Amino acid sequence: MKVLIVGDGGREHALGLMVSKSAVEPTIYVAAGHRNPGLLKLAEGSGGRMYTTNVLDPASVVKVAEGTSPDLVIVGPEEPQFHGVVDALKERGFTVFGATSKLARIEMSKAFARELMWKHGIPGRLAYRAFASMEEALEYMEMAGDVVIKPARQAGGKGVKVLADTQAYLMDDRARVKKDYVRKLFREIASKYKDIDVKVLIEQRVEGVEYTVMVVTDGSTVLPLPAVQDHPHAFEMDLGPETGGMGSIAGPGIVPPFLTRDEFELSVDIIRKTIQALQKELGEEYRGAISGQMMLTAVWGPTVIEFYSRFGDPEIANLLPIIESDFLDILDRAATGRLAGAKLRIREDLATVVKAIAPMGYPNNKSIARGHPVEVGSEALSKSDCYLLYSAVELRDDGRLYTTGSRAFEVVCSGGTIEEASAKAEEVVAAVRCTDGWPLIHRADIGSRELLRERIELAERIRAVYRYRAERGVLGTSIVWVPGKGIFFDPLQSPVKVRR
Amino acid sequence: MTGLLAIYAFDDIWRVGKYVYYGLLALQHRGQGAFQVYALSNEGIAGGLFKEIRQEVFAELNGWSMIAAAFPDYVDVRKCSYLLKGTDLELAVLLDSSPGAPPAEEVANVIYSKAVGGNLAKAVEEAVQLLHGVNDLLVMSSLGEVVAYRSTPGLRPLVVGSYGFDMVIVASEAPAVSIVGGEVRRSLSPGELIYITRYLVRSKRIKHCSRCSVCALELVYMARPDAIIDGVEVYAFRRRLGEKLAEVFDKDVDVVIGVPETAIPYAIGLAQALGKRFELGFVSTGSRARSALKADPLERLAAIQLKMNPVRGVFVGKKVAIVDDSLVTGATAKTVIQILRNRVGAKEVHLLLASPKIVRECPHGLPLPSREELLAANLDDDLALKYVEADSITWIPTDALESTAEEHGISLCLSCLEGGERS
Repeated sequence: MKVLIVGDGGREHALGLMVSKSAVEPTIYVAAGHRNPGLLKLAEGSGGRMYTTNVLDPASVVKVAEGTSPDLVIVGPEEPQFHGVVDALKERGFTVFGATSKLARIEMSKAFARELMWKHGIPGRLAYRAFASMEEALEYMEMAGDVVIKPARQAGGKGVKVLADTQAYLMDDRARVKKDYVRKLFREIASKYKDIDVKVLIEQRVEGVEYTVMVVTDGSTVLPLPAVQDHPHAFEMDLGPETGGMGSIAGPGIVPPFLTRDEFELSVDIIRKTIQALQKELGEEYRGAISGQMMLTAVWGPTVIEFYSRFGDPEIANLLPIIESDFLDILDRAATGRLAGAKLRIREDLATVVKAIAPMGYPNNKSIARGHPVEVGSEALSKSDCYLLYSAVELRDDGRLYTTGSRAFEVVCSGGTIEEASAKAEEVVAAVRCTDGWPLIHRADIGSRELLRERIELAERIRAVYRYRAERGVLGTSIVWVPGKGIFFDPLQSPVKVRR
Repeated sequence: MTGLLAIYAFDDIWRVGKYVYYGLLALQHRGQGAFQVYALSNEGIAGGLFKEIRQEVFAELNGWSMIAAAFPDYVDVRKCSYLLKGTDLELAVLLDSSPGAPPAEEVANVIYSKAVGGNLAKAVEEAVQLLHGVNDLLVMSSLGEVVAYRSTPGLRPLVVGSYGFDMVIVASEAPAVSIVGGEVRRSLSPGELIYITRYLVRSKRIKHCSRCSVCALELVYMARPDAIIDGVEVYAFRRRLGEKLAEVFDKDVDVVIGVPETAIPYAIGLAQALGKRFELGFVSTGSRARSALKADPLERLAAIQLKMNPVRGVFVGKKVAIVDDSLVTGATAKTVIQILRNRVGAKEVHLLLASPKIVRECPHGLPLPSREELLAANLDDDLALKYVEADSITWIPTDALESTAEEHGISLCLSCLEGGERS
């Protein structure tokens, strides 16, 4: 069997490794934007090869597919999906695992995703306002209150401004920041992306414990993967700017220690309902992966922060050490509408930890993070049962590895406990360095007992509140009383207007 | 005892001046003599020294990275604050005071000499190793770096907090973080520094202590009851000490009151353990000035009297237990007891102290009155009783304070206290 993987990140490396374990011993081809050494080795080792091409250009990817005649194409990242790579491949008759451009709007347009949830009454939806006009957005910011400002289009998981605004005495200052940020977003989105009208989304801010639920689907059957927790802050102690994810923890088993089985099932159900709503609206079958970036909140319990039309990166890597099923078979069944009856078998006794390693400058100044020679001490890796995934590193003609500006590596380890897996990961992380002395960042605290205890405590606090609200029939609602004006059921209806 | 505060925004659309203003308000009990503020903007570092914290100051003095200090009035600000204007690098330094410690100017110069062309964290580390006795420290550079360092053995608290994805906040006490909407992440360990830049945040333990210890007076007196020091909730610690006071108190009373306001948590613990009513005994007028830290005796007395307007009905004809958090010169206790006996008409007044006897000067520079001025060092128990005119005086034993610290998993510096010679 021949498989073509489109994409060049740590996620695709993880997918490639899982696919390569299949009993059918597939030949793996890769269409990549840069020469990811992990994928290169995997492809060549299987008798296939890597093609360096523009993965955002449907014609270029089709050309690679036509040259290799794969039995299955896996389109990993979101941007090729947004650009119509899946559509073009399907038109030429290829079997594809991955969302079409229409279906991928669930990730690309955050306004579309929210609208879909509200229209179909899907639980876990947050109040929002979408703005195509900067003037209207700025006017709204005068009285926005406790909100999150997001670019309305998926922009590599970044650009989200969370503005906790619960101190009246700091309100006018935050209103200024909100307006400045809205102007900045409008400028950036308008100059970078031509594929979306709505530029900025304002959302009700919620607090709680985040986790990711990923599923594989053929449009009718939904096969959930174990829940994973990502760590978005760039620096230890949960400090610093939002990244695509500095590492993730999972297990042992399907549900991490801070989540209940019920909460997991409810989360899967939200995704199932979303898939059904999507298919109803768009008239296409969803054959691929879809993930919910979830948060356990006081408003709803399981709540959708955003959707991904793909597997999470680094979250999918948590599956790598524990999967026992033939993952290629699962993806192939999803792509061909035969997922019913497929089972996911995993090692229930193992916890997993993924840690990303990025050059200093990531995430907010990729130009200084780019172009640093980096090497991996092979000894630490050979002694370990961990995996090293190659992400934003390229193999140049001088035979050396260079950073390309984003997360360079992901270290994937398993152990009896999350702490044990984390300790193993630290050993491998220590073997990676930039040979020009450029600092690398990673988070030693991911998987630590302290951080896990914090998450468990926070989850318990939130759980008590949403259960209280559920008992009183106010789950999903927020009652706002504006004296003299009336009672509203919209948390974005602020009772206090910020003075100009 | 200085209140230190650093607020660093990763996104330069922020102006954190207003956050510094409210953060300093939350720290002003640690010092009200002078407020020093430094702000980094695109024009470099600007600074200002103020007699009081006013919001208008921050209209001009503002930026996306700021450090500030609330100094007690006994501190020589010139030794604790310095702005070095180098040609290629500017450094602002804020230090907690300590006798024999190098002045801020010297610290700044040493850091500067090590920092040119290198990184600030390493430079601070080298300066701390090179200079003897560098106290808790905040350093800000014109290159957008901030370093906060908690000295050994960890006498004063220093916590790290965050505001979402946007800010890191370092403060002497946790309430300064929560008051600006931030979340406390954790305490810095003694000897640990945290290095904050836009692209890198790292913490490192650069000095170790064989026996790390927090100043006992932080827990019994100085810190706000809503502060958390090295994981210990100050309020819970004080209430527990109040319970322990009950174990050594054998008199019969009708009511328990705490005076001044800082003694209320002990009084609550004591009243609960005794099964007696806790009452509101006094109402304070004006600011929350720390009377014991006033250098001038007249000012000290004025500060005490302003805190002490009695609620008469609580005391008339009653046997009263009053709990104070410390007895330094006995001025507060004597004033209060006079008010209760002469002006209000309490039947009996029993004085309980939630800190052990202060019998020595602080080796770390806390300006307790000198030995000659310490009541417990000069008057024996009998004479002390006659002097303050109480019916009884009960001190918390030092070992009760130590065991409470042990229960909470921390170790205290007891140097100034009776029986505390060891540390």
